[in-house]
Amino acid sequence: MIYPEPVARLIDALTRLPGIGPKTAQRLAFFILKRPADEAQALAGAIVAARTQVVTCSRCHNLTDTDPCRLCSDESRDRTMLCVVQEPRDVAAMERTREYRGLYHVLHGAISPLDGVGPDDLRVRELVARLHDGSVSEVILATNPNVEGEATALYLARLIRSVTPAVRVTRIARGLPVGGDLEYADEVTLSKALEGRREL
Amino acid sequence: MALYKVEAVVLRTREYGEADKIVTLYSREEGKLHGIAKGARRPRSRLAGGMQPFTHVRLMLWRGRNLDTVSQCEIVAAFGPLREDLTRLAHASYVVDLVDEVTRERDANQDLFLTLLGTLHLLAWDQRPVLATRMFEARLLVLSGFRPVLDQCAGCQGSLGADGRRWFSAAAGGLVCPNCRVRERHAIAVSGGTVAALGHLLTADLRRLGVLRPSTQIERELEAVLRAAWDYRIERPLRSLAFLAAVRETPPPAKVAKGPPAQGVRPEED
Repeated sequence: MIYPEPVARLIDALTRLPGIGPKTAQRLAFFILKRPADEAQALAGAIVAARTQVVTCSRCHNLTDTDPCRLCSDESRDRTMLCVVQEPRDVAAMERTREYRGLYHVLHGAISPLDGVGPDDLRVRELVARLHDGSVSEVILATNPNVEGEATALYLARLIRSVTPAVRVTRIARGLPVGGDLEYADEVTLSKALEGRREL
Repeated sequence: MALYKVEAVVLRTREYGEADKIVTLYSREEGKLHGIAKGARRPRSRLAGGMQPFTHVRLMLWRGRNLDTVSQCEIVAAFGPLREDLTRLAHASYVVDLVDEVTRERDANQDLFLTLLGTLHLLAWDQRPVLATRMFEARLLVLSGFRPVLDQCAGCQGSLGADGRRWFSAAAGGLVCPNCRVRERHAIAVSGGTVAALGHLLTADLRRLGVLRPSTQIERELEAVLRAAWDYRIERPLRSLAFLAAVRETPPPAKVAKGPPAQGVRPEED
């Protein structure tokens, strides 16, 4: 080995990160070595803290450091609305809109018939359990607009209607991206946009 | 020329890197092939809409060393209903899974391509997706060189006997006579009606599927026979089959009176 053993170990560890190849890992390792020791300490500390302190919220299953999470324990949020998303990062995306004031439910994945991911692999049972207390009046299905996301939405809509018929089930709209160009939209997106048109 | 055109059906997609997708295609010109669709997971990508399972597309691809790169994509048919109905989706997933499983790369079979397209049409719009799936299973047996023998004993080439009861053996590759049946321990008992229906599925025009009106009994036997035939050929349980079974078990949607939807909010349709 060309590098001292600890450096080689650091490079090897960095290579495991997504999108990081051996060359980038090497660059990052040497950057860390050049910085003051306390910065490296802080980075290592942050990684360990994130890994040990973050758990999933017992209510919405989002990643959190307190249980229930800040969103679930926030009294100002609308407890009659429940937005179902695939991943924790989708909660962050929805929160960035500042439009939605209800609660969330994170499934941690989507049904994928071709990859053998079924409803039992997701937090579906937990979702149904949350609906049983009757406080939620609307479930917004905000899964991705692709085959897996649609399959998940269809499955959940069917399930929720059969177990808690009083709950309204809605699906987020599909259509043109804001700032996009009609000419460059693909046929499916455009027809979905046409289908979901609204009166002005 | 490194750039070429194909007409294809997207069988499956896999996420790759930050925003790319690796797609498995079944094309008319080249058979099964893999391609990379760069940026196809970004919302504004021109490729995003077309690079989804079951979509019938016309593509321009760059030949690469390992993977070909999708450069342009035009959607011929999106088969929308397949994504809007759980049962249709489950059947379509099984059909593409089966194609992916039994075909080899760059082994063109235009008949298979057309049968796949026709089946997706039926699955999307026909009233009986189950029967369309049975037809596809039967046709794919023929197209992969495993046409079931129905007119004589598949074991001894002898007569099947006068008795109306028939036995199907996946291992023998068709119906077997009472004598051979003793050796074929996994043979399935089928009625004469099922044999006739299977014959129809194997040969009839795809558009003539509508004339077939099998009883529940025949439908069950057809499923058992074709399932056994494919289980014998592929030896590995298809993941999409588990999903198909799960969909069957999910209670059908109870029709409920819905309140008037809020402005611009459309209740999810089943």
